[in-house]
Amino acid sequence: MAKVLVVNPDQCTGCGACELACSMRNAGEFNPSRSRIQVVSFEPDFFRCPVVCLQCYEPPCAAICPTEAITRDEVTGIVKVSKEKCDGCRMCEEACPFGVILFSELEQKAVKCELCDGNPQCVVFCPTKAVDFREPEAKTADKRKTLANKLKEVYELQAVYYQLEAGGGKIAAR
Amino acid sequence: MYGWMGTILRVDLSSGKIEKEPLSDRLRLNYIGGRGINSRILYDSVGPEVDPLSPENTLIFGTGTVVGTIAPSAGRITATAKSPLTGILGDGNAGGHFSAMMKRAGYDHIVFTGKAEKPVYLWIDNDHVELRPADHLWGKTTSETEERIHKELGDPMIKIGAIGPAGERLVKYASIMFETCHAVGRTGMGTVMGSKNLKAVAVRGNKGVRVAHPGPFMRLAQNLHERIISSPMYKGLAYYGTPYFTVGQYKMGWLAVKNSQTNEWPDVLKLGHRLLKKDYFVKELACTACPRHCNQAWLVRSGPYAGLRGAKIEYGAIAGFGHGCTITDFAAIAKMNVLCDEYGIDVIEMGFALSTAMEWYEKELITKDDTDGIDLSWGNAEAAIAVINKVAARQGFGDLLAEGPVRAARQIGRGAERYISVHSKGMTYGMDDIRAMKGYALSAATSTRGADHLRGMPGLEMIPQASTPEMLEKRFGTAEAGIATSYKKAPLVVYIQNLATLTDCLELCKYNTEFQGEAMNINDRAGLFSLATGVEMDEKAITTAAERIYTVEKAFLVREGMTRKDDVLNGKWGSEPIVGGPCDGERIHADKFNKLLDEYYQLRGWDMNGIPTAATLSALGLEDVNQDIKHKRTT
Repeated sequence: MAKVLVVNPDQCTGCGACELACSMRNAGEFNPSRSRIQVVSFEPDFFRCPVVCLQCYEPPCAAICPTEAITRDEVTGIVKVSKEKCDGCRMCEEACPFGVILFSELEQKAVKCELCDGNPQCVVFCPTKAVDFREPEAKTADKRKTLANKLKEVYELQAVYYQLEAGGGKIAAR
Repeated sequence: MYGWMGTILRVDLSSGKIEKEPLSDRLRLNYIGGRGINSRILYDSVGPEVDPLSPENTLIFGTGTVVGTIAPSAGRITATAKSPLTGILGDGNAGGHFSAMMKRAGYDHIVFTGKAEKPVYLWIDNDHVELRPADHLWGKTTSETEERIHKELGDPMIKIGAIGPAGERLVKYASIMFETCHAVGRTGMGTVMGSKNLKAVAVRGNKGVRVAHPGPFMRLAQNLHERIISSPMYKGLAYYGTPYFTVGQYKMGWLAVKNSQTNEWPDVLKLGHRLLKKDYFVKELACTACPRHCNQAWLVRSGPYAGLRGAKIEYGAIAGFGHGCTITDFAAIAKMNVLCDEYGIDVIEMGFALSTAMEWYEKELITKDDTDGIDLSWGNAEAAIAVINKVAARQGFGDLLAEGPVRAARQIGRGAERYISVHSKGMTYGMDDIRAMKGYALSAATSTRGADHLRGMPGLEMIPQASTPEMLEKRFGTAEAGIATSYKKAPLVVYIQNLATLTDCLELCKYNTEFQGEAMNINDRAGLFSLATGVEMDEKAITTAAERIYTVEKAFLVREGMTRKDDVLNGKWGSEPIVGGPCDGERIHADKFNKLLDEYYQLRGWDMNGIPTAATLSALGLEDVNQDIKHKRTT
């Protein structure tokens, strides 16, 4: 299945490399305000969260576009804006519930994450996999495994205690 | 323009006049950026007749040539002025996100002159720049100041650098705090801000930073990011932050304990990195574009300081407050660190002021009468906290310590000065016991801002896995360059000082360079500089720029009257041996150190009195500097 951008916000350190990589690749300059991925900061709290287009299966931006400039590629899953058809009305900006389709003042057109033709630069530069590019099943399988591992620890320890108690022993230092 | 933004912002606080000046070719091409250009501007603006606390002092903020790009850790800032602590060139360097914001607002440097009649703060919003009243902020801590400015200007993403009450009251080692936790700590740059009635600088910018050769630049940047992540020392800092150094330094015998009365300490693991990570550290945060994310956010979960939280308690604070004073309670150290961040006080100078004061108290050079009744016994955290509060308020004993350990010692008399671990040119140090690391010792003695660790800590002499004997022989003349106690260090120190200088010009972080023993080297600097700016410089050319900058800084000191006699380590470490631990008995041998200093001067092209020669100055294009200092030459 086609790969997707996966965000793991607990890994985000707020370094902003993703914004710099994206803006250089897609706007030709280092400028976070022109990046299609944006890191939301909760200062003075420590949580940092990268927010980027989720390439919706039924994109509201495409549905509302009056010139049919926005389409979803069935094979790659990428939702794209046609520069030729876009007339800069900004209705897509209104429709998107996540704020991830942006209006480029310079180009006077809508811009959004289009996964850098299959090699997303934000992923290349992220040191902690706070943003990653992988198959969706792998991501959800990983989350199940994380939970299962935690349960494994709890049950293993319980099992050891039961065995020791049953045998009359105590946990000793090694 | 590529790399630089091309503009210097000049703010005269006396008249309120704000001007924008194009960044000259002379400064760009000869002094690169950041600290390099700062130092030249200071040299041109402030002479020996200027009192550091007068309106005639000049304060300069500098971002770097590649700040705002994706070069790894390209986001540091240097603040430069004549130092109220030392009376010579002063500067400090901070990380975080302020610098990139300042760059995106369109400014490479901000130059402050004069003194405002009433407290003000500078607000920079891209092209719009104004001085705003700060009466309502005067007296507030750094985090309160930030919060109020965010509210007033209506944007929590504005980046702010501020002083606290310590800078306002002219504590001689007051810091400038960026985003409350990133410090321009050393040499009293916050004091200079206080003397100018400048409470804070707030900035917002959304202009793009451009590079001349985007494709090759991105490839080099990606390569450097990958090299950093795969380097041997990466995990330590990435997972534990600088507190990682404590146990390692201790095992090598390099940790100074109890104001360096000994280098042995059975309690060292109470401040060990694994314990801190487990019990206190909650999140790894990063500075701009840095893959190493060494900023550990922390939280105290229980005890009298439960609920206290913050970021960046670094090795310097743990060494000073912890091992230096033999305080083992990390929560108490956290409290001390928070106080220094909020008051705006350099934790390094404060830490060693405290440990020195504790030794004075132990040896009865001072008594409870002098300390306003505070029992300054070893390990007494409450006492240390009380002293920090007094220093910030400049009250009683705090007023004396606020002058810095060297001046305080001279005022106390009775031989107090010889209990300071180490000081040079008026600034103290004390974290790593450089009696055992001869290259580091040379660097601290010849630092152009006074005894410190950032002018040129030679990681390659400290970290065996960072080098091979062949590499050291080839680059620094001998494999002994990798042996800490060897004196064969002149070429290594010159290289590391040049590397540190260039790192400060591009405003990258030294932890990602051979300063830390690995990853980026001077050749990488040349690559980043050339690809970003479009100005071709190879390793040799950019090294010449580093030499030029270091020599101008040295000339500033010479103009102030400093010579070879000042390139020395004073205090315990100048003459006494290490007591205890693997390096027991190690010391600075005066004859060997003098010979090393001779070799260093020769490599630098300075005469045997430490003064740059006419030939060197001419080769660096510094004939004007020669005119200033030629009368200082005695030979």
